[in-house]
Amino acid sequence: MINLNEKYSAIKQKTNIFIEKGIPVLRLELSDVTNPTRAKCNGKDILLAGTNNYMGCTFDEECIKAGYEALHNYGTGTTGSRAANGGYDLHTQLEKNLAHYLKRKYCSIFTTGYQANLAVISTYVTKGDKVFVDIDSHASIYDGCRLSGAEIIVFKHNDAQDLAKRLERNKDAPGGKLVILEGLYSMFGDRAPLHDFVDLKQKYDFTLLLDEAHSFGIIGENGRGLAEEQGVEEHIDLIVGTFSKSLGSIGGFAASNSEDFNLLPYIARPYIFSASQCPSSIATTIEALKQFERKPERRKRSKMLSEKLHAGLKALGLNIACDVPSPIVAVKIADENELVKKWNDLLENGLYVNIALPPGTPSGTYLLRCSVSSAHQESDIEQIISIFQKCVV
Amino acid sequence: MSNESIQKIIIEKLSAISTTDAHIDENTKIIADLGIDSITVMEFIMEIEEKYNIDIPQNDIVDLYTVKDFETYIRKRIN
Repeated sequence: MINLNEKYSAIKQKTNIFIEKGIPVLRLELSDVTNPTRAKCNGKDILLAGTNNYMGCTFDEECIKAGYEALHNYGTGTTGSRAANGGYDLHTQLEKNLAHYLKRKYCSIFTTGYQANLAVISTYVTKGDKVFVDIDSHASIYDGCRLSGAEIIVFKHNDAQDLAKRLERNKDAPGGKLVILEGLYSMFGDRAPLHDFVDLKQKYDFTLLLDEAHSFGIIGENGRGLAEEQGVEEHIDLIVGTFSKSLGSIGGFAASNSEDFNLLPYIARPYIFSASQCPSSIATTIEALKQFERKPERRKRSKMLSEKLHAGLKALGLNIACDVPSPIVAVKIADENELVKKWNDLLENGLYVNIALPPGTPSGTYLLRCSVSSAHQESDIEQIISIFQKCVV
Repeated sequence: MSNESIQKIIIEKLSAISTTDAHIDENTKIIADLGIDSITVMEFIMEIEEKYNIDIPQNDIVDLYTVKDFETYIRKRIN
């Protein structure tokens, strides 16, 4: 019999240290979630500032109504994959709406954002191909690369010159090449310099995948993400995104103009062998997507609130991870002990933010990570700044 | 480049990121003995790539347990 306690003794030891210090590692429990910005934690009222609920859609009346109706009309779940019995007209409708919104010919949806990356990456590259990924990429990107069997080459964060060097070294290698970027990087909230990367396509022949998980809905004039903001949409071959942030639901998508993309449902194992999303989740996503177009003021509001939080925390003398404001505002803390103490103090004073440390962050980087929702009030932002002043400065 | 100098460079770089007091030699297991997390390993790999102007695919790293494994791998790649 394999002894898991022995096998993972280092993880157990680390987990125990955190639990002793009061951090319920990966087990924080919220209750009485009454709106996108308020909940209770251990019976205490908490202001939520770490939910990635950028557009505040989770309690939108129209989304909730759409979810109720789908529950009544379609039941609680599909009990199967799209390849079998789990394909409903709602799924197809959402794919059409997303393709239209993104100005792409084709779109496929997945049960989670994680699966979207697994499915797309492992379909587009296989053994004999090469995939180039930014070192700060999300775990779903790394796992998709591993599943693909392609050779995985990692380049320095947001460094197009470093990527160029690696493409040059591999320019005569056989097989296809896929470069993967993220729009807004989840920990620091920094943007990829897309122009610099797109410029490389002229010299090196590669397919470019952009994961807009954190930028979809909230960045760009129409919310289509960083590629829209930076005016490079036509150069992006594959867009991947999630429903679990700005759309306030769960699921993921990928979109493309390539006809080959339509083969994906016949090849991608994460797609074929996963049950499809429950109808109520799809229905709320369809409604939330409509609101991206109907309520552009939410993006303007998010921008205003993000700038206010960024400026407020900076004025306290805190070390902000990224100079350019975005809905992700992360504060760097000197070391792990300080991080744990300050995160606990914030929670004790009624504020939830994300705690982030290596290997989720670059080595030696410890973050108290806030995310701004358009559902926050200006007074909430002032309260966040005030609690940081009390607990972190 | 001699075996010794490649090994010396690897050991120097590992000494800078090790989280334990373990003595580092050619038999040292890079992750198990030095308490280094996955992201730090990747940063270490990038320094080695920079130094020798090579790409070390992630797929290859899983087979490189010890300093000696690493040294042998780099030698093959630069030759």
